[in-house]
Amino acid sequence: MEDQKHILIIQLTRIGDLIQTVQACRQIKAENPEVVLSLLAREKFASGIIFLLETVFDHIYLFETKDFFAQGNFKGATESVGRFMQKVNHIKYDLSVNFSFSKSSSYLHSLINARHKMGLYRNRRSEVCINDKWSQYVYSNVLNNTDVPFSLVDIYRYMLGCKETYALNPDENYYGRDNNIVLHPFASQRKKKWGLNRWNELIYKIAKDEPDYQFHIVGSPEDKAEGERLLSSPALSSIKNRITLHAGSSSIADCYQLLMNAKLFIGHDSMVSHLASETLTPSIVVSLGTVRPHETSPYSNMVVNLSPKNQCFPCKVSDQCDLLPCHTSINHQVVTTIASAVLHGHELTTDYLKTNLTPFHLNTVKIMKSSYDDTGLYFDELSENHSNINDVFKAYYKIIWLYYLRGSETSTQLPDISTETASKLNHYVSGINYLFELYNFGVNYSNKIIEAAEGKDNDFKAVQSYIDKLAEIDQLCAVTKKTFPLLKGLIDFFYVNKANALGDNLIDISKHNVLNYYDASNLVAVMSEFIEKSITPHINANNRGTEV
Amino acid sequence: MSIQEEIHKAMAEIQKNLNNGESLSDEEISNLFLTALIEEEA
Repeated sequence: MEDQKHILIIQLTRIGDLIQTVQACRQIKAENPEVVLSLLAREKFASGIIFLLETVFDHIYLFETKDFFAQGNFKGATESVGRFMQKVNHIKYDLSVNFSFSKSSSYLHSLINARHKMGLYRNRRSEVCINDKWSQYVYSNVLNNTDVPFSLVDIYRYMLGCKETYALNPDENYYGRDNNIVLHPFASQRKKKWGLNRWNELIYKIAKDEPDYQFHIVGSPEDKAEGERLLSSPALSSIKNRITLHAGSSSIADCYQLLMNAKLFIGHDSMVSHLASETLTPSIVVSLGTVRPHETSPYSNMVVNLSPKNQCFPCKVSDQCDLLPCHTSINHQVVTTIASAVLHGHELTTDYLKTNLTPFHLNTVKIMKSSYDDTGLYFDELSENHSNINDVFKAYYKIIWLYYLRGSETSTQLPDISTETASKLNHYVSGINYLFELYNFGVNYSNKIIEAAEGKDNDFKAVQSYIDKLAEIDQLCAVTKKTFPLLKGLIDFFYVNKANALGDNLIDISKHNVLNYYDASNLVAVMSEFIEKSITPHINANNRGTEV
Repeated sequence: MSIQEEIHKAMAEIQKNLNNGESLSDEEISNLFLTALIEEEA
């Protein structure tokens, strides 16, 4: 018992994030069965999936804001927090990990009694602290709307130090399931939601093609009215007896049971899609608006993800968009074709898609099929032979971050690119070279700070001038980020890494910064090599530097 | 005193202590946690 390690996971965000937390923690538990895992979460998000949480966590601590304020005053609420934390801190944890990255979670994490902390917390000066590099990656990339190449579940696994990629065993009884299709046509934001008329067309077509299937529309009580509007469509009147609206009348546990007995799930990137990955139900996920498919797609090798090829996708929550152009990029015929392949056991390949869909359909939608490799979940793009520049950089970043943050070398090939993409990549050569120089200046000036601070003369003026130079480097990096936006991931990471420099005096912090700038320049050099290798086949030797 | 007023008073006290170079107590961190929760829910 004394040798047992105690790990506390803090996950204060929504149900979908909790399911992804379960999936990551299941893996650390599988590798380390003796670990005692505890969860700290919000009751309103955790209570609906307690049946899932209990399969992984040994202890579950739930709270709700209104319960803290039961006495009706702030002093009473503070005392209530104190009592709650006494319960949570009944032991000293070996490790506490904050997967939430919210302001409230950062303060809560500070109250946890743990030997080591990962993820966001605050020190006694209320300053944000992020000590581990994977958490710095989340803070600088994931939270900063950079389109990352990793699933959130994999990021959680990497933070926890999982070595293997474990997956749930396939359902041997899949073909014994009833002919049910579960649909979730709802989403929390308008931008993420494919219009009702498109869902209408989809349901009508699948119902016509698959006369033996029943349809189940799931959602929350808030979705009930919209569900009724969908069902009231004249186009669906002839098949109304085959559609059941569960929105508002069943719990998450009921939805889970429904998915366990379904042959297909079709919906948006949402909690229900994550639940479908737990029930091993093949899924078609429509990703729109602000969704970043690689990051938030359900963690399963039975997912086909559809996303628009619009330049503006994915957008940010703050971006104004009235016309929702990305919604029209996904035609219902693409979804029905894929649905047919899944239900009839056809292998989904690029050739299959090209045979069954027109170029008109395929030109506007990215179709990705999920799978596992030794790094975790990855997606094969089936709709395109060549990668665009965003996907090329995603591939570069995946190799770089797995090497730098996890120490693992992947066998990921550099993507095939078109001449047009090579031309866009060529533009980044000057940005990468400039960044390399900036980081090398960073190494030099950090070394000069150390020399000046350690010197007999204690030349404060010189030290200050070198510190000013480092500030200038930060500014120039910020400008580089604007001109070369796909370098943002690298620049932001090392900015956050530098901001969390270890050490409590100028010399120690500067020594950390030397290593920081050195690592940064090395990664930039690697990226430069990748770009070079990618564009070289497209270069006309006579026209280098002018056109590719 | 309303909860809002209590919060303002507590936050002012915390800021004053931080400006004086003092470290936050568990109670003050709990105050900040609760305030952040209310902000996020709003």
